[in-house]
Amino acid sequence: MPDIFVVPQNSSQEPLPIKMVSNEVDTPGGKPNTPSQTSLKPPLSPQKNYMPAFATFCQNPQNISFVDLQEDEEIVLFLRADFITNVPWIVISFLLVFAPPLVFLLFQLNPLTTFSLSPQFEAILTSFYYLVVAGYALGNFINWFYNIGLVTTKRVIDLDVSYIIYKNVAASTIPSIQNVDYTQKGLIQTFFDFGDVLVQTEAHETNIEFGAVPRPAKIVEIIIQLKQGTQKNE
Amino acid sequence: MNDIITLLLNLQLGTILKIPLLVLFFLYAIFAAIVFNQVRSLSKLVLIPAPSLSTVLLTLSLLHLLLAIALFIAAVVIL
Repeated sequence: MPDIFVVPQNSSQEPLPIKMVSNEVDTPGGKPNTPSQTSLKPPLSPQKNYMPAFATFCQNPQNISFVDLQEDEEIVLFLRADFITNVPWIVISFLLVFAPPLVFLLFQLNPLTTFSLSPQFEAILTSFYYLVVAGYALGNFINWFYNIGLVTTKRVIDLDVSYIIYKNVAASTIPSIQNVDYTQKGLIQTFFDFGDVLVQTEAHETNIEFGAVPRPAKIVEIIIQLKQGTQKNE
Repeated sequence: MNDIITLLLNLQLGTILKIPLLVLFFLYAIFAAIVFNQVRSLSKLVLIPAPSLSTVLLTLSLLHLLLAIALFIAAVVIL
């Protein structure tokens, strides 16, 4: 597997700013935050947006970096899965938090129950249970928080973290992109406007997929603009 | 050989429960250490200063690891 942070020799040229697109930031629980004074800016504009901690879509973010970001390379898009994708594990965590008191209550209400544990045993088991629930919530949050997609002026980078013990970083150069498309499946994805963006690259490079990212149409538009800009520059 | 058989015959229900429980706690502590290590490596890979939430996550995962170790030690001592 090639080193993803090794920049190919043919990518030294700077892509030109292309078509005008809006600079926007999406945060959970809120509408897209559009800077009023710069509603229309090119994707490679020096105008930067402050990226909130839980941002899921941020164009031209100013306060993010990654290992091996080059001096002449700018981050154009920062992407995370839509916040709505966190709802299942949040609901499950809440249910798990309230499960032990209900179980204890059921045991006490049932007069036929002969099963009992010593108080120390109960305390240790309960503590362990809540630690596991906290670990479950923490693990899921980390999965969401660090599952990041980045589009720079030179590369498309996908950082995948699954079940904590798996980490995959894939990157592809903008000129090697062959096709970009997106899929929105079902009512929820259509209603909340999020979906999967697939960046297909040349055969020798890995295809990159941004899963459940907000505003996929916009992302596709920006990547295509970057690709066209690179082609014009060549 | 006889000692082992005697030991197994003398095992009580509490002891039988304790051993898998301690193994489980130990494995969970290892899992917590893996989580902490993963967060540490991820926070170095992607720098998200917004106001240092990755530091908060790192602290939380460290706390999670320390609690898992503390629980294992408490289980060894108390049970």
